[in-house]
Amino acid sequence: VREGANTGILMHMSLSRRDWVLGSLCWSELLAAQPLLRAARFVILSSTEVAEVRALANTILPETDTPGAEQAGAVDFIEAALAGYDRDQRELYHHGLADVGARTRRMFPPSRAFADLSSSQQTALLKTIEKTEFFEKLRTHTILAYFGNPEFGWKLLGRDPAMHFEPPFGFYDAEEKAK
Amino acid sequence: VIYQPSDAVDFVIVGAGAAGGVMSKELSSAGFRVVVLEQGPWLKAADFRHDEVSVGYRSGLTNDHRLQPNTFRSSPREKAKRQPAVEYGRMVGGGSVHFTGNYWRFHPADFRERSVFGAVAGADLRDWPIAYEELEPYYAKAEQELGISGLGGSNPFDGPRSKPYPLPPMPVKSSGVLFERGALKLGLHPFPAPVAVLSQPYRGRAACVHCGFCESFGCEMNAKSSTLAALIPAAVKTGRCDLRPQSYVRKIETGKDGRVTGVIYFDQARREIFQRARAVVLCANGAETPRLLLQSKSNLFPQGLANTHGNVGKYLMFDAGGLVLGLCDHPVNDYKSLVVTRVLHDFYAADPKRGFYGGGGLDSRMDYYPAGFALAGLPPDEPTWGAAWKNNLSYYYTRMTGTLAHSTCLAVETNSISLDDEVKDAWGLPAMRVTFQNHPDDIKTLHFLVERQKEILQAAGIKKVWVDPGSLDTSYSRHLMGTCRMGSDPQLSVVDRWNRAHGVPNLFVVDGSSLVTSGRQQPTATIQALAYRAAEHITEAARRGEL
Repeated sequence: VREGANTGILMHMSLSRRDWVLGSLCWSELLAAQPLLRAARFVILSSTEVAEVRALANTILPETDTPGAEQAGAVDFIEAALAGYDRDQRELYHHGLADVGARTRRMFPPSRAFADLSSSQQTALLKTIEKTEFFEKLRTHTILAYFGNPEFGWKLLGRDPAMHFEPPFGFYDAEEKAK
Repeated sequence: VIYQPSDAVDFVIVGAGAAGGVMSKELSSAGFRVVVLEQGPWLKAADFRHDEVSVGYRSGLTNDHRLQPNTFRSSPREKAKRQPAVEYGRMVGGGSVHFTGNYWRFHPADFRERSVFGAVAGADLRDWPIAYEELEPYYAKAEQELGISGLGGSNPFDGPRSKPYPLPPMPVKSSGVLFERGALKLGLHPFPAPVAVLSQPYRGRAACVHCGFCESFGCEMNAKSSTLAALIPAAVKTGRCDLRPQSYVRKIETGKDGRVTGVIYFDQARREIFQRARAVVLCANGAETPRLLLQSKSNLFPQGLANTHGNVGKYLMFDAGGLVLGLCDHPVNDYKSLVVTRVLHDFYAADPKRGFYGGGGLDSRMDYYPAGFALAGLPPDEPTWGAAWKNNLSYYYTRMTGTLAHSTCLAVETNSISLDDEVKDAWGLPAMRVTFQNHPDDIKTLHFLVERQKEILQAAGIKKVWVDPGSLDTSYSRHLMGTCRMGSDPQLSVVDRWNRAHGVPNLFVVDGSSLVTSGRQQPTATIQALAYRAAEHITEAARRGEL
């Protein structure tokens, strides 16, 4: 039973809504999701695999004028996921990465690692695996690492990280109100 | 208060969700000694986080299929495979904690659709044994007790109401404005959404601050009108409600006289405990309730409790409804505030002229959180990774609006919850086996509504409109209905008009499983109205010594 954490602050009717809103400003930190993870060391992924996953995630979500998978720590997120909640997907990664290595050697000899390919080669290779279960999982993990983190994903989308809003919320309700 | 397992309390309530929360408060307030067994944790408002990864992808608030797998097949001829098909809130408050908050009453015709519409081949469409008029006072009571915001009389297709909503509607969002503009242009009748979210402070709870994390999340400030926020505290305060989280019931025991004597459950340490009770109220949801009854075999009930005629688990009904999205010229910012602010019921009634049974309600929503949006929210003809994809995400997210349909699911006998003895859950119990395939009319309704949804967005002046492909998948549901249907004939139903099990006088089933028809989804208001009605009846019957 998880009990006792509630401050009970909201149960007091004397507290005005404005007070609550102001009070809640300091909650933003508390409520924010998924702090940036940085793996101290990698246990599930080998050092070769770390480099490959890093390059793959950066191809899916590249750095442009905004940060990419690299900055959001996608490879660290994936290591943590495979060590924890998604431990049953380790084999999918090991096999998927071996397959990427084999495709690299076949498509772009004498290169031996996806991480060593040029950007256009990486894109071409990824197109050949984009229907695979491994790619789907890798893409999902990369997205969760980035978009689960307000610092990166919300910023990219233009989602205001505030935890409370007042109407008007958008252009059209403002327009309607002005009528 | 803590009761001893050997102490035969008046009621054991299994499940502390939308219905169980109502039963807990009503029965303990009426003076009965109540033990409530909830398989999930007892979280508090301050435990809830805006963490999409946990809530959306790691079963943070819902049943975890790695611990409680279900198997799935589309027809009884197939062998079921492990595949998540049902989802429910697994915590004190249940689905009322993480639901979107749409709080629609069923229409009067929902209770007699068989008479109004006629039989449907390949389905078992039936009238309810009760009428809207009988349930109306309890809809009103639920709205008052929980705290529902809305505008009574604004939906011309609704049945009569005895009371207005206790709270005014929530402020309209841009998605609601666009939906309303399109609908009005087409001569339709949009109205402010009735929602289980507080537009003003109510009974010691603060008003919503529009944080934008309603659907799938728990409310960190108790502004969503869950049973956890609105009812459970009062139930506990009576001093007669012993609420035990992390308590997973595996069997309802019966005596030689065919009456239930209590339940066996696993506590948090997986110890088996037998809690004695004078009566049992089953509120475990439309999937777990039939599973538990089927697990409760005895000499008198070799096919499972209350299953003498083999009806338990049959007629499973799922939710359905397409999501149609649109790209606007200006910011919509649909991520702010609650999910839905406008609804219409113009296509709700089944119309024989369409050539098939079915109908639905439509609401305004874009319906994506950031990670979900990046995974699947862009139009299907756009790239799904790389720099161009990333640019699109950034452009689309704040400019998108949409509309979601909530459409009918016909009761079909072969759609069911049963036990799969080949797969066990983490407690060693047989897994739930889900057999489900929509009746063809359900799919026709879904596509009929998708066309109406497109028309509404286009009439609002939105040029780029598309159908979200993932929303058309109907093999996964959060609305779990129909598996212990209510009826007068014990041969054809599981519970009577008061939610009492046929043939087991001190067993009640009060949750989505007793629904005879699916309405137009959004079943929570009806489940809770049925719970208030049953609680009143149970209280009177117990006082007369009839349990």
